[in-house]
Amino acid sequence: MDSLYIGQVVELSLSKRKLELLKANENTERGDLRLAEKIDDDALQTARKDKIIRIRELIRETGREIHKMKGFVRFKLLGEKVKCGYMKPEHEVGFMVLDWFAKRFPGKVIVLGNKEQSWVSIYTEEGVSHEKSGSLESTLDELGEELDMEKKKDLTEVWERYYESQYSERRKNEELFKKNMPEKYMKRAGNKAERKFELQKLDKFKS
Amino acid sequence: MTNLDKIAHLAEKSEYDVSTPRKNWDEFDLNKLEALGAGTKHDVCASTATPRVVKGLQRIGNTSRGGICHSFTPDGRCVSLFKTLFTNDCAHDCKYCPNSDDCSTKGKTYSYTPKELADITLSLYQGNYVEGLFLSSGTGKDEDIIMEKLIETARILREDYKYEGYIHLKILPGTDKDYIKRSMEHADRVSLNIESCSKNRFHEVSSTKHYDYDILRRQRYIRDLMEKNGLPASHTTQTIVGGAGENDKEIFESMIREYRKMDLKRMYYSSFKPVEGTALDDKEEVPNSREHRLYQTDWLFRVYDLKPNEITLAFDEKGFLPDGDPKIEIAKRVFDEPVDPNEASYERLLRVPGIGPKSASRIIKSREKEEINKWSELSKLGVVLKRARTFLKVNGWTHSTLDRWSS
Ligand code: SF4
Repeated sequence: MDSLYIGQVVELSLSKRKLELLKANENTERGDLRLAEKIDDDALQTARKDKIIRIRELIRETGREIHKMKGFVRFKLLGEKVKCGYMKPEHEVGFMVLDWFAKRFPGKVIVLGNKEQSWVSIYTEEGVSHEKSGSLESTLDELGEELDMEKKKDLTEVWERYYESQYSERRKNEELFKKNMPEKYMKRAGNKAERKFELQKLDKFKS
Repeated sequence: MTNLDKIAHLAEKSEYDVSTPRKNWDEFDLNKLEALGAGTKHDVCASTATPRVVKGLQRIGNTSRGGICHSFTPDGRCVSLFKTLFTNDCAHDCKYCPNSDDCSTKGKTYSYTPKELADITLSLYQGNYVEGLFLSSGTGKDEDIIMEKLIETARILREDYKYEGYIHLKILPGTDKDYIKRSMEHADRVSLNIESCSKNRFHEVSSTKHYDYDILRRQRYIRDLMEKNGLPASHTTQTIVGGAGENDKEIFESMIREYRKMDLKRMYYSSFKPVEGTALDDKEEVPNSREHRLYQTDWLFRVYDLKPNEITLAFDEKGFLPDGDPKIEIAKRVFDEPVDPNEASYERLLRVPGIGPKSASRIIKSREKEEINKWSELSKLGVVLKRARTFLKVNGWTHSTLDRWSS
């Protein structure tokens, strides 16, 4: 049947992805999740009620963190099989970020984390397998017992020189930089080169 | 067996290891990296969005439909690609360009080898510093020889390294059609910069390149090849704003021609900045606000679907876009009464400053359920009231009289 008839019970629900994003947000409350069960994507987009707008914002915030982490984290290569890096997201987005990287680099173990926790993911013909674990260090130690993880020289220096070559002093726009690359995301992704360069520029500017 | 053991075991077992370039970065010439990187900083396109879908496991990398920015420089611009020249050696005499044969301060000439460039690209990609490669170049003594090297770089990446990330290749002016075809087999996007809005203006800034033959004809090749064989992220171009004394209207007219005749995805604008030692080094710098206004008109044409004759209402009698948003200038002229968001069509809503495609469709969907009676409701639907208020009527109430915008 194509059209609805009066009295028909319509199941409203947000798309799976949106629900995942909502659940992952640290600030989501039980009331938000209950309300989210009663609305669909359309209602979310056209909402005028503050409670629904709040849900929209929570979803947007989680999505933004995932997007920024995909761009801002950096990997070091350990042997041929492992790529690791720092990440300390505010929301529960670990697997969403990790699985995306795993699909980008099939057969590689992707490890991201910090002093408290880490996430590990791999994509093979069996699909994605992932795991949440303790500190980044302990996870790498454990993986090191199984895999050859000789540290390769990383590219920080190459990247720093390249990054600086792209800057145009005549177009300096601190406000736009801060909007696009907020300090909080640089910190959560452990981004060093850009922060260092930005501080140097600010110093020059002040002097 | 713990889950970590299982993951390690899967990695051991996986045989999709494609050859990884090894590079001793200690021996790498960072001055070359810097000089050839800096050579592209005026090339604006940083898009990495492509609809190309990557499948299978025997590969390194994939693409992203919406694009990803990996960094931003303190000028606020996105750094998403390893953007570099292949060589800064060039036989042309473009009067604004530091690589030009005539530039008195032209520094040392550097070149990569295709293998070297493929290695750096892949290494930066593996470290998640970039989303792919943007490869441009001076023409050297012969553009076809250099174009061959650009293609070889892309081929190594795609075939030897099984790299599936994003590639944007520049087509050098005057390149043979066969090289254009081969470039397009590897790239997500190609581009050829028109640099100027017309033949006459172009010849004021370059005497060695021919506008019709070296630029427009090659753009037609790209268009026709694209129609036949496809090109995931289409082709783009860029023009310098004010380098040859052109006004905004001339640039706008070339924008319309480019979009309509060349089937172009995007046109980029870059305000002229004099470079020491070039033939135009005493010419005054053009403010960034000019390129910003042009982007706004480009957006009105491409995204808001306004007709060129509506957009031209925003230009002054000298053919320049005045300070302020062109959409407001146009709205002042097209609306003779305030717009009622409960009645107006999608097209009419789109012409209201502060309302974009997203908020216009939200208004339409939302009013089907319930009338819009408050300004705050519009704001919740994404309308920027600061700009929209003057042109709207909510609950029979307006924020200004029409005389205010016609005066
Ligand atoms: S062709 Fe390109 S690199 Fe060569 S001088 Fe002209 S703008 Fe510069």
